[in-house]
Amino acid sequence: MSTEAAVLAQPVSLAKAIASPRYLAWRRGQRREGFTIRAIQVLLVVVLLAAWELGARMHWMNPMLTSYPSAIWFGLRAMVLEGTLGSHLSVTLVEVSISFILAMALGTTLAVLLWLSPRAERVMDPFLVVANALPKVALVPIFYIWLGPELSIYGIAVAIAVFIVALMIFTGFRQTDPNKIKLVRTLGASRAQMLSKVVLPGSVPTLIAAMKANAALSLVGVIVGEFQSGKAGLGYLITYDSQIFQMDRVMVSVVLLGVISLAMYVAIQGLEALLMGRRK
Amino acid sequence: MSAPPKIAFKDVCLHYFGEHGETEALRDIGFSIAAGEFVAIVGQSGCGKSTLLSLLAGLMRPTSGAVLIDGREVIGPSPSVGFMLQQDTLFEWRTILENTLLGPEIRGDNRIEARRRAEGLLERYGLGEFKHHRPAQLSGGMRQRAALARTMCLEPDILLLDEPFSALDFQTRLALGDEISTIIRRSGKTAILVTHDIPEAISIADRVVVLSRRPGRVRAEHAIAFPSCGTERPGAIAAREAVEFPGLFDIVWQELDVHVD
Repeated sequence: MSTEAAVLAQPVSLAKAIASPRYLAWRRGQRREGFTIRAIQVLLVVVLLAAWELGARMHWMNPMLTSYPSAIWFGLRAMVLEGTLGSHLSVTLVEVSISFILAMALGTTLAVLLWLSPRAERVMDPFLVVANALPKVALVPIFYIWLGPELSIYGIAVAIAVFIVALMIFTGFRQTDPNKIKLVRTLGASRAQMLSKVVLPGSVPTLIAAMKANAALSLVGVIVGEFQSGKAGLGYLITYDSQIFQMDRVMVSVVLLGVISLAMYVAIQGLEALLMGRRK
Repeated sequence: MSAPPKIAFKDVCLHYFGEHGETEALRDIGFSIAAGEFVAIVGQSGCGKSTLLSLLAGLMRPTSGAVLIDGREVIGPSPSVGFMLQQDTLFEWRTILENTLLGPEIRGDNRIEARRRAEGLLERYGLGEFKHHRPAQLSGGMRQRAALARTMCLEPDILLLDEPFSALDFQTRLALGDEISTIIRRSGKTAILVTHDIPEAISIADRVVVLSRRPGRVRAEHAIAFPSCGTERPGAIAAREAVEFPGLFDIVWQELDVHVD
């Protein structure tokens, strides 16, 4: 046992100390493969942008309808110089952030309540299935009438995200290792303690997955909400610019939405690395 | 009147109820265990031996009959009963020390005192320098010793061991069985080991209770002694070498009535 313990106490970087030529060659191969994949990705983007630019300029396709990269770039510059883009961007960012937090909080609370009361879960099951399956976009006009132009944006964003979040988290709760539950039961844990000591900390990967789904869905909800009722925000800009047929400007907003969703994804990924890294 | 036995099963019957009918798991179980005794329960899989432990731990109630600890009926989990499962079920998000402190945390013990107790236990089980490691960094044997520390940290009178060695490789299993049974024996606690491994049962326990196939009934009980080894009971590994060992094995093996079908 003691020798086993001693071996285990060593860091696992044994390979570094006695790196054989074969191992080094393998590492070089790995690095080269990684580099090749990045290069192909960059190339793909460049080729796509070039084809788009060329196609529009050579009038293989109608630039009025498709716009093209350099026009989008100039559109962006013009919009920044007008000075209103920043405020539209921040309106959307605030709406998305608040909706994300609300959907996460409500969804988690719902999942916790369902877990605490198995009877409530069985009663609510068909209602949740219908609520989740219902195309929430159909509620946009109703929310507009009920909540007014501003609150309806939050309403629709939360409605779109919250059920998926709740169901994902609840499913994660249910997949908690039954032996861990049995163990804390033998230690005399109450149901609330089971939740705080086992179920919640054991569901961190699920919570992260739910956040990723929530980020995407909140963004969808906010944009759809702005289409209907916004006086500002990127969704409003897209509707407005498309109605006056300014495709360059529409594309600018779409690109910015892509950047926002990427940023949210990267942030959640960072949180995941932080939380999971503490477990190693 | 003499004091009641540490543990007593009185005409315990247990039926499982499910969508597809009723299963009789245990029938008329009646035996008792004295304080400080180490008893092994052997039987084939599905004979209800783990169910006996769940009844003792207060995780379920018998359909009829009663389970008594110190003469009092078991009606729910009690801090005087410690449970070790087949899987070590260490929480991967906690360090070894934090895992050891799980029981005291749930019970709401004094933190400082519990921590001192936990550190003492880990030190004694050879895990002192690993207390800030994560379970994933430890071998199977070390993890199971950490699980023992977690159980012991609540200072239970009674230890329930539900095949705690069966997930380990053969060498670790022998060494750890020897080590853990010695620790438990020295602590003077009452222990019940459930296993399907006959040599393990004989080498560790003072008494072996053989359960029949489902529905589980007590088929036989055997006091285990190794007179050839002197007055002191030999450790689990030494016991396997004793001259009495093969005879005991044969008796239990016959009673288990193993059919391969």
